[in-house]
Amino acid sequence: MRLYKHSLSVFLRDRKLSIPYHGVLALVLVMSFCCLGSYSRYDDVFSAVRWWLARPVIFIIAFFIYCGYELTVRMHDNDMVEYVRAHTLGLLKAYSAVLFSLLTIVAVPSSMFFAFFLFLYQRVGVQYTPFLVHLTKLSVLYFGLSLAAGAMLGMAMAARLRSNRLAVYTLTTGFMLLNTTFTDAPFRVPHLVFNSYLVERALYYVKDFLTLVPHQLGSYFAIYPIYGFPMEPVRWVVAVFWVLFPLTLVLVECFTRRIRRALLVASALLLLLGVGLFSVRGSVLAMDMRNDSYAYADPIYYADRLRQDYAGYEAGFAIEAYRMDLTVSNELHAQVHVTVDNPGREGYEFTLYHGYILKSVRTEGGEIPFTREGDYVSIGGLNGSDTLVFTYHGKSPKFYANAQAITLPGYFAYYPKAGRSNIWDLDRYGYVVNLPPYESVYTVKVRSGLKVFCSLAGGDNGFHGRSNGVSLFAGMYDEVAHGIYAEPMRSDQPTRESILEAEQILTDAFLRVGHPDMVIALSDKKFLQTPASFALNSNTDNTVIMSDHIVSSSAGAQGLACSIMTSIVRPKSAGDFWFRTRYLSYLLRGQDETSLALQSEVDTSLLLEEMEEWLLLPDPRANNMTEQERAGYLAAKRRRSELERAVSEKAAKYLFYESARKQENLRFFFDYFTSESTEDCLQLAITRVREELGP
Amino acid sequence: MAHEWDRLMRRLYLELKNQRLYFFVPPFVLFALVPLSVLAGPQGTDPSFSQCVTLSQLFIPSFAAWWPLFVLKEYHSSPARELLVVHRSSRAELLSRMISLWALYVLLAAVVFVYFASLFGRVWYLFAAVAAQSMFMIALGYSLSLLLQNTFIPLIVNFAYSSIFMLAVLDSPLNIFTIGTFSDAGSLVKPATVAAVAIVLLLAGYQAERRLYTRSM
Repeated sequence: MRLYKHSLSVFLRDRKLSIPYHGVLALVLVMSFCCLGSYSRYDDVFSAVRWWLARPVIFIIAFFIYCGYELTVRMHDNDMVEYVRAHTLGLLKAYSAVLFSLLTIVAVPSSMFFAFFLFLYQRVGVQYTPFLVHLTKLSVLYFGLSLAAGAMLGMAMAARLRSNRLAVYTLTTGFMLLNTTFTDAPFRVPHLVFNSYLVERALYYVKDFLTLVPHQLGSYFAIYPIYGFPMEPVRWVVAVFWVLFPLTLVLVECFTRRIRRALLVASALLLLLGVGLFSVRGSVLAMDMRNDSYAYADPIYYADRLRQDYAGYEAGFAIEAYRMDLTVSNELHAQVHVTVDNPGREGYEFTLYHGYILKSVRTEGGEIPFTREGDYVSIGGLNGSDTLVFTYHGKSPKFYANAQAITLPGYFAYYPKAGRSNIWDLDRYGYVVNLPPYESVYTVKVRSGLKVFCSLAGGDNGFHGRSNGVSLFAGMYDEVAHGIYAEPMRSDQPTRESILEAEQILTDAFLRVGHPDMVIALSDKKFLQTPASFALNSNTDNTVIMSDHIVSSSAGAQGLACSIMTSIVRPKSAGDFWFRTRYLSYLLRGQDETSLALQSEVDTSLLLEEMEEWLLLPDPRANNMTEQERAGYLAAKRRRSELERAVSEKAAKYLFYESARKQENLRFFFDYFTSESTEDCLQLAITRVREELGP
Repeated sequence: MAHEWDRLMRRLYLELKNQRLYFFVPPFVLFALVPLSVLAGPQGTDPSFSQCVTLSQLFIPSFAAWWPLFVLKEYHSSPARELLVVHRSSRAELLSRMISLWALYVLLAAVVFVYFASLFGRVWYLFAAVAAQSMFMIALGYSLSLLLQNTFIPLIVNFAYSSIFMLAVLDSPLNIFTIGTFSDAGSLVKPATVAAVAIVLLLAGYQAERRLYTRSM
């Protein structure tokens, strides 16, 4: 106790330590005020905490490395170690005093952060306990354990490297840079040199092991309310490791002979345990620029592989029933019983996302052989049985299932689906909505520490019902109204009224285009709002309607109706974006009548001129060009792009808003967009305008 | 005068030699990390000048203060620190050393920019900006280390400044970095201001350096 008091007073008396320390405490206050100001201004608590507290905290951690190092290294600078060691357990007592002093000085800013989070929760005013728990865990992991880890690292460096300040500076710099996005560009270099992602993965492996605060400085990825700040079990393991491992290194210095050897073995075992647990971390949210991150993993994986199209593929059998026993821990562990309607076939094909490692396929008669080829599983006959049992485990970078949250929509092959179907659509840059045309009977049991919300009826993580796809969600997720599930911390939540209004808009649109058969009843389905992050790397699954439920990231009536209609009115090519967007706007009457663009009529003669120019302007190709040709190419490309947008918008306005035949035009283009026609959209629009305006 | 110059260079050489392997960190950054990172465009895209602008400003100025801070470490934390500042002839040697190290670093950076010029054409406005930013980082490190009497915190501040203003807060008036095209002389206005601020910081550091000798004498 006496030593502790002395050590603490040494820290407080030393101006090189105490003045910067008080500066850091003042900085914590400033950061908290800025966070509060940002929240008051933008009403986004996750963004405010990320910008003002989570991202800069790495430099506070680095400051505590400095404190830990400078306070401990004095013993070595003044050659006190031999003298202290002369006393019984002298060095241990001296280090313990320094350790407790450091923990005390770390406790002050950590308590300030904790108090601020409690205040913030009060200020946000949402009565949602999981959010309070999330903030509490955040303050302990990001602003408690991480700061303590910094102090421990500093202390360990002083104990091991002594006065070798250059090494300490270099290690601290490396640690800081690895905890920011400084590494993004250099980590791409191995791919440039070796044309392989293996080294990049290894580099990120090391980086992740040293990362105390994810969503690092420089990352522009948002925090999504369903997940919050990443705090999977592995992050706690890493933080605790970086507190305990340096501590064992310090303890090694305190003893001699047998105890020293025992402590060395203990630290080696701790290292092995840390790396081992880190290696089996399973599903972790990786929101950064790496090739296997949330945003890039699937686009890169499918772009690198041979293109296969299973659009017209017939499975030859249907699945009558699923019994799914799912365990969600570090990742998804599944045992799925599948009952097929046609057990006499010689072979069966299934689609299961490649991230799930299939361990076995069994029937009542025992294990049967299977072949795995990416997303596809092929097996032979069932030997008289009609039920197969798939046992697998794994993860998807985007559709995660871990101890913090679950987002498994029914159209994604996280359980075996009959036949072969694509997972990713290269042309439309998005996930393929993979749903069978029939319903199956599902019995789902989920073992998880989270309360799981499912599209089927049930409770206590057990669900049963008929559908053509089962969706599972968990995390900071709840039933916000009867039959409507969403993130309670999200500002744009769907309501029963907005769903009814969307249904009305769609019904009106289908009647206008002469397709009453396509009217969709939305109000009798469960509505599960997906996180806004779903749109981060996919253009196709904003809204998916299944037989018993809807998954959509939209909330407002117009947005919801538009996203549903977008899934029906599909693009023919990348070039029809502007025309199709305007078409949808006029079809759903979503245009802003007060906008200046609608106040004046289309100058039809100018439109015809621009059409002519666009038709005559060749689509420029960029092959083996000189500098002069390149300049011409860029100018032509720019002009074509400008014209494409202008012609699209004006033609759409004329055809669907001003024309006397606008209802007919709407119907014509609805049939075109829902047909298999390969005709160019804009060419068709031009032909249509010319027909109306004459030569 | 020539003798003074020789003596300064000799001491600088010994101080850099004393850094052993750590001396090679800035050349590694300049000759390997920056060019390769520029060549490895994001997600399969070709190297671009905008990528060169970003990465040059991210890496080159932040590592400019590496040698100066490692030299200054001897004056604040080494056992012989008192001896280093007692001789009258030593006055203002730290300032001249900072300027020499900046010149050396910029000279090495110029070699890298010759390579960038072969890739992207006119890069010399960017080079001038990077040289001014490097001078600012060295001046900041020099003045802070003399003010705080240590080099650890200036090192943290150096990388914190580069990270915050290059990776997060781009539009702050406190930002010395520029995200632009660097295509005309107009893009040199900010670097000129940065150089002026760097000179002020160097002068402030020099005042602190003089006090250091007064206290030691």
